[in-house]
Amino acid sequence: MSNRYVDKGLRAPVNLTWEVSLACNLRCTTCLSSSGEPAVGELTTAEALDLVEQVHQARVFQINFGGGEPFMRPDFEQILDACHTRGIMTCISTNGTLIDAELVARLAVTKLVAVQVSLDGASPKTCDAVRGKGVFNRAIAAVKLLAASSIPTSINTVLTTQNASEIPAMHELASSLGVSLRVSRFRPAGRGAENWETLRPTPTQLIEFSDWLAQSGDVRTGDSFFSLTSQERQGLGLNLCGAGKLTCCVSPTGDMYPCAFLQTEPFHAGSLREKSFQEIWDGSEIYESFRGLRIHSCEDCTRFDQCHGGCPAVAWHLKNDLSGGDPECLERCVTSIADSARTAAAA
Amino acid sequence: MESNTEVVEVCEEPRILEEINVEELAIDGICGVY
Amino acid sequence: MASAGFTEMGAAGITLHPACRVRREGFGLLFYDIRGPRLLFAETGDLLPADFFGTVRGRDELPEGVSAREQVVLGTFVTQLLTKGFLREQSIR
Repeated sequence: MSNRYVDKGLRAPVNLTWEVSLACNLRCTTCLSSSGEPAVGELTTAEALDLVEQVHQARVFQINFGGGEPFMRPDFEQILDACHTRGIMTCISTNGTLIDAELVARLAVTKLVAVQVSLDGASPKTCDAVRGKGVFNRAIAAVKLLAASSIPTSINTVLTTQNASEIPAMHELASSLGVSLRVSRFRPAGRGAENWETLRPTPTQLIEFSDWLAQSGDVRTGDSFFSLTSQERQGLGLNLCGAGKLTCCVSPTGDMYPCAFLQTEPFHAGSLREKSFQEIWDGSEIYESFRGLRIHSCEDCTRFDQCHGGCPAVAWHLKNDLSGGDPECLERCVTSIADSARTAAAA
Repeated sequence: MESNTEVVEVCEEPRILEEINVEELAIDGICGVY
Repeated sequence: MASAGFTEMGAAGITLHPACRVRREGFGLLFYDIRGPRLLFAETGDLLPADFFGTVRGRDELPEGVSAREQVVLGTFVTQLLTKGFLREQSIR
């Protein structure tokens, strides 16, 4: 069910995804940002701190940091401190390879930070195939350090065809380590687009995952699987796209977009080097279009109230049509499986 | 030239506050990537 | 005569829970709770400033100038916020 207050528009996002750098010491095959080298013209420390102040003035509640690898920025802890002294809550998505006991101790001083460590398989074999040799063990080491601290910690997994069968095992692994599990949706952006056909979950895997999620109320999804949301999970999260309405994205160079999966020119909402954060949130035509986005093609579907047409970013990447309806929604998965079965039977 | 402008005053009853409507919404990240 | 150790109980007040934040919106107040996470949209209009519960308040303390009717309604609202966990009790002292 959509929310009328959200529909009317909020004065600022509830949270913000901020990719602080494209620099990364890994080269994960699913990376939505094709991270590795820093972007040309990334925000300076002064610009980043100014953005924190602007976000504070706008009363954004939380910043979700990612990249690249946020800890590759030498000033990242300075940026975090600026957020925390202003009462802004933060969540850091990290590959864990740069986390040591001293860093954990520094982060734990504030009560305003949560950490997600990326892990894409329940075993080194599966995980390292995506993230690189030895990364599984390094990430687990980071998780253990974090789990022993007061920092709310989760393991974040991007669902692919290679790790779909290991999700229950990852759930057990997370439990055994004393952390929660968060499963995110794989989308065809960045290196994810290059590897889409080989890594995308099959319709059967998506349905099985949806069924498993229905029985696993403690598993987080970051509201990224609302196209598969079962009745059982209806009340656990947002069941619609929040881009431009509840959230937005800031790139390493200070460009704003509706979400991290649409960091391309057609969706450029504005540059923080030209306009203020509030001006862009209030006046961007891109954000206006997302606020008014209606996926009419899905309105006759029985699941429309549960998914509202799904993820526009996936629809854009796969069908070049923001309002074309999510190609991987539950209904389309079921239809796809039925069609395949018919084709096989006819052959 | 005469102008025929009619001013109509409308008195509205002040709305009596009965209760404060609240609506709770669970979120899990708002599909922020991270 | 030596006095026994004496602890004075602080009067119970209420304040925003540390896991919560609140800000003004056109309709009134928007609360955020990171523990859910969850949002609460409250149609308070202009009755309450966003920072009202940023300090510990007396349980029945309300902004100046509210009518008797509004006091009743706000009192119910405050109880709701306490029950839902957006506010918590805290000693005023």
